Amino acid sequence: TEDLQSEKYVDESLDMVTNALFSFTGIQGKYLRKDVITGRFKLDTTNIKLLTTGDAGLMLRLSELGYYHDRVTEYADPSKGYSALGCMGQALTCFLRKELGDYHGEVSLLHDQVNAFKKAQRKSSFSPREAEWQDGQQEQVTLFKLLAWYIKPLHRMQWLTKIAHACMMKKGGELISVVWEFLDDGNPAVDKLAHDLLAAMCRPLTRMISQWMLEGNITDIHSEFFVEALTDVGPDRLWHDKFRLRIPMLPKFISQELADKILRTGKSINFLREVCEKNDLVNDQGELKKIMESNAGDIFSYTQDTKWHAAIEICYQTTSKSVLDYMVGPHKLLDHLQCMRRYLLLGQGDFVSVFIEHMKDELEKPGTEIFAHDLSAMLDTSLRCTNAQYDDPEILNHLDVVAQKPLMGDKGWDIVSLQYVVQGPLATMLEPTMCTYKALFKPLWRIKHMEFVLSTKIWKEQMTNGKKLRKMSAEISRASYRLHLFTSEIMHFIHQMQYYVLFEVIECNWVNLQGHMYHATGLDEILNAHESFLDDITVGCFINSTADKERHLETVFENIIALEIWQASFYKECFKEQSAREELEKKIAESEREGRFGLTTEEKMERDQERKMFEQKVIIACRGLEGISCSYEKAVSGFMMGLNSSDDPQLQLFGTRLDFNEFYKKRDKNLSKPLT
Amino acid sequence: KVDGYKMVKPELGALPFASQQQVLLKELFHCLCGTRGNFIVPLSPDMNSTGIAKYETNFNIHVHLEKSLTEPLQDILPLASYFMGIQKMMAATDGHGQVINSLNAALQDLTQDFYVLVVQSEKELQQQELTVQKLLYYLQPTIWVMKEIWTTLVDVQLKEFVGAAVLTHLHGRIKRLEGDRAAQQIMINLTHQAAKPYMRMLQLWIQKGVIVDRNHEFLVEDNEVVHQGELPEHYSDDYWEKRYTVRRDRIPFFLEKYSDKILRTGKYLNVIRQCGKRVMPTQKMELHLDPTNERHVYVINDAYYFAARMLLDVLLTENDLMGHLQSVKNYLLLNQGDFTMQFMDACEDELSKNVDLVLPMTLENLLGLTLRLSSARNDPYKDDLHCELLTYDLVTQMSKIMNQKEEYWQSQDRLDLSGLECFAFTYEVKWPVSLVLNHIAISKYQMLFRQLFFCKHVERQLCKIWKENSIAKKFSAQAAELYRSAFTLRQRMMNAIQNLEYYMMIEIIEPNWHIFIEKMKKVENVDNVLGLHQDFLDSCLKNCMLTESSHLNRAIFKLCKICLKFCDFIQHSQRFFLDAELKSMVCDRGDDKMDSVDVEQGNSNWPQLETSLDPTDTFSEGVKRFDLQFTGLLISFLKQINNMAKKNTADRFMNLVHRINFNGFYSDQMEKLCVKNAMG
Repeated sequence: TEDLQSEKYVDESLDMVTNALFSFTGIQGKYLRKDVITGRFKLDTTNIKLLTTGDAGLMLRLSELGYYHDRVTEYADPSKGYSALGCMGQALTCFLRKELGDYHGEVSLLHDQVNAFKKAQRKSSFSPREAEWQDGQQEQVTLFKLLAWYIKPLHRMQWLTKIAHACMMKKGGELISVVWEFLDDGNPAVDKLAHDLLAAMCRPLTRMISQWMLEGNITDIHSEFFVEALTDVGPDRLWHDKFRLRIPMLPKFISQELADKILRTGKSINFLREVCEKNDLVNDQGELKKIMESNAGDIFSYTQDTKWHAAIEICYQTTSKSVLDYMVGPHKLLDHLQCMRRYLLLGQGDFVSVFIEHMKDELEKPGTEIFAHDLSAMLDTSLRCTNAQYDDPEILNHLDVVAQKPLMGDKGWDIVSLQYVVQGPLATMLEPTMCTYKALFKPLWRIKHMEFVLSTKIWKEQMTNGKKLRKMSAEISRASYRLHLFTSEIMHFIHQMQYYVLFEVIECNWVNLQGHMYHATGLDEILNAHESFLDDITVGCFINSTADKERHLETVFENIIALEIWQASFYKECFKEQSAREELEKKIAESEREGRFGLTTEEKMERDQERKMFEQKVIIACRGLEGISCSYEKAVSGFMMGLNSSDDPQLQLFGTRLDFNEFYKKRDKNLSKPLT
Repeated sequence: KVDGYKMVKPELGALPFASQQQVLLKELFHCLCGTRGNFIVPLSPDMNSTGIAKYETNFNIHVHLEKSLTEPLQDILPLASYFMGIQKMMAATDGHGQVINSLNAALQDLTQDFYVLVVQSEKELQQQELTVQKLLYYLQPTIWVMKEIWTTLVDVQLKEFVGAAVLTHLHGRIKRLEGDRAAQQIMINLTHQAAKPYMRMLQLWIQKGVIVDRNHEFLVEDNEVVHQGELPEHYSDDYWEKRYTVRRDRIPFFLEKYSDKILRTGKYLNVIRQCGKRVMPTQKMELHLDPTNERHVYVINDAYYFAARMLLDVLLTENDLMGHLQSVKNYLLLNQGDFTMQFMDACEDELSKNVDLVLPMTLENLLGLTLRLSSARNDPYKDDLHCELLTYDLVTQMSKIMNQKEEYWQSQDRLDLSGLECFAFTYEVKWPVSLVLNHIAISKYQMLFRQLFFCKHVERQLCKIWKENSIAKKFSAQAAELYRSAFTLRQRMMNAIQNLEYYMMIEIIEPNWHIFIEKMKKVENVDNVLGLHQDFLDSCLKNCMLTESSHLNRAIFKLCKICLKFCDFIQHSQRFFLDAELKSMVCDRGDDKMDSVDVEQGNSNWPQLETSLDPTDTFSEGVKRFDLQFTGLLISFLKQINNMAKKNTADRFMNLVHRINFNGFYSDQMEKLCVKNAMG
């Protein structure tokens, strides 16, 4: 009976073990049933009587593993809707499945052990000797043994559940970032698990990166890659707008800088292929591809000095080098920039003055009478007769002169402008800066205009007319003296202004830019330098500046135009008077010859009247000049105030130079206030 | 939970002894594994218990059991209590940082070993060869070890240790278990395991300069809010002091001594990286904690020397630190004489204006001009030099540093400052040289500069009137007699100022600089450089009487002021007496009395003199007044130095006294003053 009892005992115990084993893979058995709501196992109330308290507790404890197994199975099944999305989500699912597979293997090994023991047990009833031998071979699987076994799988399943839960419904870089957070737990097993999992999940990402960086393609049906191509953007805006970073998909362990590099490399490849129609650029593609795709684990290393990072760096540098070589070499990017600086920013002085000289008649005409074809002929002439003729004709072809649609009252000066036409790859690069050039050309052209007005019209006339009107100097000397003073004051201002803008702002920044251009390793460096060059000039030319400097300048210019008009009418009056006098003298001389001697009183009266009127006119003209100079001075001192109160030492220096003998300072109390 | 009453409950008392033992042993296994049984029932934990009792479990043993069985049972049951306590604590601390997690992983391994032990005993039970006594024999060593672990963990739990504190605690336990080899071995293993993540962080920090520390356990803390590769142009000393700091409460005991070294190693590496260089240690050393020896110390030291050497190379060879320092000395300590003189010539007019009228741009331009005209033009760093106009003079600056509560200087009207008093050079430094030439160092240089510059200015003024006075040689002997007192005073002033300058430049700055350079040749790491540089500056400041303890700098300032006023006075009267003397020589060589009348008139024509001079004073009275003021100030200055020297013989101030009073000219007056002081 004792044998029987022990056999029964053993059977019972095996029964429990089998049940527990079933529960490990989520199967319900005689003793353990699943709770419908929580999904956890609980003891079957009907069979509970067959168990001792201890065994029941033990089984319940073991069944916890089953619960976590069920959870992991759930997350591993995409149809359930709990799993992660995208390729990287797929990688996670696969990893979970593999884990489950390994786990099932281990459980079935335990099943085998139980079965083998059972078999041995049955045999033992036939021959006790064999049984004894069998006992030595087959150990009985007990609940305690399971307990010792289940710790590790349980821990692993728990963590898998935890990670998979956090990853639910996420994709791409966001998903990877979530898993990345699980690194560095401290527990070596968890660390290893997270590391392996992350490496597995990064594999699709590294493949995408390598494809993008080496071939310029994006294969991304789930839109989970952190580079995105806008499909509706054409190749003309390829460099600036077509590709961009998808920030939410950027994994946390990839820095912005690195992401930019990756973006730029692919962009360059696309640019070369689509715009420049040039293929196969990176030589040892295969090698790089291998490194990039085989070292997926490196991508999230603590420091950025792994093989993978080095490969990215090499790829970036070679690609940007080839783009740079292509643009600077066959497409002469630097020459084009040089040309724009020379002609659009008025760097080539002889050309500009000859051009204005040729055009001066056209420019004075009202805007409606100007035709573009005349202008381009004049441009060609002026190019041919200045040093510009030695420039590369291919580059000069890009230069064009255009006339905008005239508004009411616009003169030629206001609507004519030089332009630079860019095509092909150059257009992709430089198109966004063209409008800046346009905006810059305007004030420069305007200053040139003012200089022209001052020197060839106002000053020249003054000099020539001075002699002619010498006879009348008694009457007009006051006005003309004031006029001369005022003119030279304005000339000083305009010359200093021009010197400042052309030399200190443009030339200095240009030298700076040249340095950048020659030392650049990538095209973007040149473009960025160029952009900041333009920005600096825009600020330096007082475009959109604060403190109303632009407005004051405009007033100054208006006053110059007003002066020109004033002077013209002044001299007109003078000449009228002078010719009237000459007329009179002629008359007197004639009368002398005729022997009539003298004038009639009527004539004399008329003459006196006219003379008086002229004197009156001179006084009025003086007043008009005073008015112009007054508003000019106000504008200049406003401008100076703006310069002096600016934080830029360059501007302050400019202010000191304009006011080198403290002429304005003495006149305007505001200017002499201390700056501190 | 399993409800006991629903289950089958064999009547124990009715069974024979052997069966009773069988059942009991089975129960015992359950109990050891932490599941509830029928006959040995854990008492529900007392909710109010505190301290160690919280992690203890007591058991209730069935009353019908044989005494011979229950007695050994009492010895085994504590094991169950320890085991359950450990499990509870593991569950409670899960996720409290890397160190604890790693420790828990090690404890989990122990748990598994324990289960295996139970399984083995169970096997023996199935073969019916196990008795309670035998089991006790088997479990005895485990009980001792478990008890040790349990108490250790309870301490960790009660004091809420995390991170480094856990390691310190574990490390401390190892020391205490010197006699108990088995338990010590277990503790060593636990410590080794628990320290792994910490050592990994340490390794990353000292070999790469990276902190990967999500739970804030590591001893070094990065205080930078934004650090995206941008060059730290503006912070330098702040960067060095504050960017990385050691958290005292996060240092494990065994790293206590090296914490400073550890901090600096990573800091150096970061600076090197910010200079755009890659940090590649020559060999990669694995860092593990072996509590029985100090191998990790060698690794830390190696890493430290590597980083220190490298950064020093970067600073000294690639960024030419010494060149920059030499430049700073040339300009800010007036080492480059011709430059200083030319600059003063160029800027004198501008600087003698009121500070509000001085145009910084003009100064900057003149400075640029001077730099290119003087011998400084070959200096590669000349463009780093700039002008600065501070809003306070040196004395104010000093008293601000000395005593922030002193309102007097702050409330003072600042409009009466001349440009000269506010002027200072600054030196623009770029990263990483700004680590050494940081903001504080530059302002110390500036303080020295301002004192030297002011003295130089006074000397120049005195020299100027000396030049102009030399025309008095043409005067007749009697006439010259009149001015002798003024000229003597000028000579004495010059003597004092020149000696003061000589003392500061030749006796203090030069030797200190020399010592500094000598020491720099043998320097080993950057912190040494910083220390040496600071020592150099501090000793210069102290010996140039610019330290807070003395008011000597104020005395110097007053002396200089008197000299300047005297110069003004002489210059203004010069016009008149020159006219008078030379005219009288031409007209009438004998008439001496006329001069003094003329001089008197000259004085009265000039009432806006800033001194307390009464306009009706005669020339000789004015001179006498200046003489008195100057001598008084000088004597009290020398006296002060004497007193200081008595207190502290290490200072070199005494040299100055000997220098100014080289022939005992002032000795009498000083003694008189002493006597007067003693009297009153």
